[in-house]
Amino acid sequence: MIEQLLLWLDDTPGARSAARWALDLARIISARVYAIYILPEPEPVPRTKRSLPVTNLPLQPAPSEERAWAVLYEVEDEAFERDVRISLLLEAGEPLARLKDVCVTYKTDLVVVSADCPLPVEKIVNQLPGPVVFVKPEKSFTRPARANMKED
Amino acid sequence: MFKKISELLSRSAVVLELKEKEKDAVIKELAAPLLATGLITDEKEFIQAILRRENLESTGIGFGVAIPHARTNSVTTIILALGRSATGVDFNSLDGKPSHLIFLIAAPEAMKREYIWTLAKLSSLMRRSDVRNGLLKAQTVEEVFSIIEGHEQL
Repeated sequence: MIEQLLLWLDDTPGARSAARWALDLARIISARVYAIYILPEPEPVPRTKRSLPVTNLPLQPAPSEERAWAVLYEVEDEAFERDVRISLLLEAGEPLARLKDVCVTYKTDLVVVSADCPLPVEKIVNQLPGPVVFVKPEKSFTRPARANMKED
Repeated sequence: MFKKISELLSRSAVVLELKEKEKDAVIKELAAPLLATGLITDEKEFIQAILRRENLESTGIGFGVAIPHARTNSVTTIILALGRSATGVDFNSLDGKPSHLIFLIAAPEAMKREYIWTLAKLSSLMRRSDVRNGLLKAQTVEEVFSIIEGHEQL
């Protein structure tokens, strides 16, 4: 029986599809959702400008904490519209380690991630406890089956 | 460009020492100064919207901070209040700790984007221990504003 879902969010369209799928499922089965956004660990500040070669400069800036919260609150707003219980988590660190910790801490039964998440599928499936659902981006998005489910 | 936290928060909506100890009563206590501003058109609906959301999810973000919030047409614009509780209030935070800083936010249904970004800005600000500690130690409402304004400019 699935009572608690862990939804891994980031700032991509794929994650939004995963969120909609997870919220629809949670609504149908009355599950609680833990939505998590994982920020990268802050880079150590170089001692001098010379110690950071130009070629090592990140091509894209890391998402800001504010942006991460905005993604989380948008999903929370959608959850509220569906009467789905949700808790928001903003963490920093290595994504797989943080996901694993949260799965264990909150005893989640299912993890929902975007199919285009930045980690290899095998790694996620092998290292996280319990089943994982990979949701394709919106184009091929399908709602969870409602067969044999009681309508509200 | 959305308004800053320090622009949304009015001086009359800062309660340096909350009298109430229970979540529902604290929300009503924080709503009182907002009612006086005339920006809440329906008090009953406003309180219900906040409590409805509160019953569905924890608005305690941890570190002793809670941000009860709702989108409701019982307010005419985005509104914000801040209350401090020395004893702490149980907002069912995931870290299990009571909340000492409580921000109440509401916005009309149509102001979703500004509402989301205000929540995001505030949550981001409140994760900083220097901001939280400063707000907890502030002796006056002016000091509260000075801390928020100072960190919003960084």
